[in-house]
Amino acid sequence: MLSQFQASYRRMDQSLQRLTDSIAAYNPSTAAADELVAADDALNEDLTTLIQHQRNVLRIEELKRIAQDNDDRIKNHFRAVAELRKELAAIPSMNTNASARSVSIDELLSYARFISPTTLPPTFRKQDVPAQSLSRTAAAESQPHTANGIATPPLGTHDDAQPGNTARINGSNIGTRALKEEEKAWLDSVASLPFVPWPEQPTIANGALGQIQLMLEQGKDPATLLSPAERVEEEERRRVEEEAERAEEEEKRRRRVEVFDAAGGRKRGREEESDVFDPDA
Amino acid sequence: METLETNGTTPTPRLRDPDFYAGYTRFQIELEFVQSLSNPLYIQHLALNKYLDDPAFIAYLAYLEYFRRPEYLRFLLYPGPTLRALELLQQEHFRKDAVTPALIEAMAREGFEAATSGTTGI
Repeated sequence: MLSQFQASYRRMDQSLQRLTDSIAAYNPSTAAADELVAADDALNEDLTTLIQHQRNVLRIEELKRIAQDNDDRIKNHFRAVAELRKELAAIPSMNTNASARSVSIDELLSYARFISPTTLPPTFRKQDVPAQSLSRTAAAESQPHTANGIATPPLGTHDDAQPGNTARINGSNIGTRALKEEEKAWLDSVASLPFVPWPEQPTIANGALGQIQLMLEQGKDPATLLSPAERVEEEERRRVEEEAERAEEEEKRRRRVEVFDAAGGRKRGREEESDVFDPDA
Repeated sequence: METLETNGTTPTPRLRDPDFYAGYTRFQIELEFVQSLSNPLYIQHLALNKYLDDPAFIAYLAYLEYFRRPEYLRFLLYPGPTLRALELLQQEHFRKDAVTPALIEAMAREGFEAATSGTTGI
């Protein structure tokens, strides 16, 4: 490129020199002027190519920069992927013993559905639950503390005000009011829970154990209720016995008929013996 | 009364079927019982009636641990509280303390909190 420029510069220079020489010699030659113009044009062309050349150089650099950026980006991605893979490879060593208890998804879902009626209802809001009862019992414990009992010292303050022991049997000592503040708080707290994850007392009472309890209280012996296998055996046994009885009765009747014949048919009119005792027979 | 046993001896008294009682199978009864243990008030009832001091009962509670196995676990409607109660009942100091209302209430609270953990609360 540079030599090209140098060549066109030289050419320019030469043509200018020739023209000036010819003008100095009072012999202006138009040919020299044309030559100068041509040299000028050639120079312009060279300049344009130079501009393009520079532009290309810039573009190349920019592209190089972009390529470099992409390369860096790719390297980072690869690095990240390698790290993730390393992490993933590190995890399974914990899970190998969990596979012993693997459960199929269907089983899991069906079990979840099985449990759902006895698990938290979806409308439950925890913030609606009353404050911890422990704070209540803490307040109650500020009162004098004795063992389980009715007519305890807190109520004794009333008794001091009223004369004599007959005051013990007043309204405040009867029934649940005789419970200490603590015990009342305790009863309240367990009963006031909006939801409990276990069967309540009525549910238990309606179950198998409850029914057995009922039967025992009614005096029926639960052992008399037979299992299906036993029931079948029982029926068979009864059938066999019935057949045996019938067979016996048939035999008896036959024997009676024989005797009846052998005895000359005295009782010919009668088909069967009557059960009623006949002293004349 | 005479029976028609061909061997001529009197029939041996049939032993009660151990897997059937009062119209329910043994498994049904045991399943109901182990799940009712999840209710702390029931445990208190058992403690007050001195059931928890009976060695045969204690041995029975140890036997009920079979409900931990997957093939039996699937029948529990209240698995968490049931297994927790069963675990506690295996320990002697828990059985001794089960009469106190404070412990029962704490157990009820623990069960409630465990069941509702994870729900939003203030």
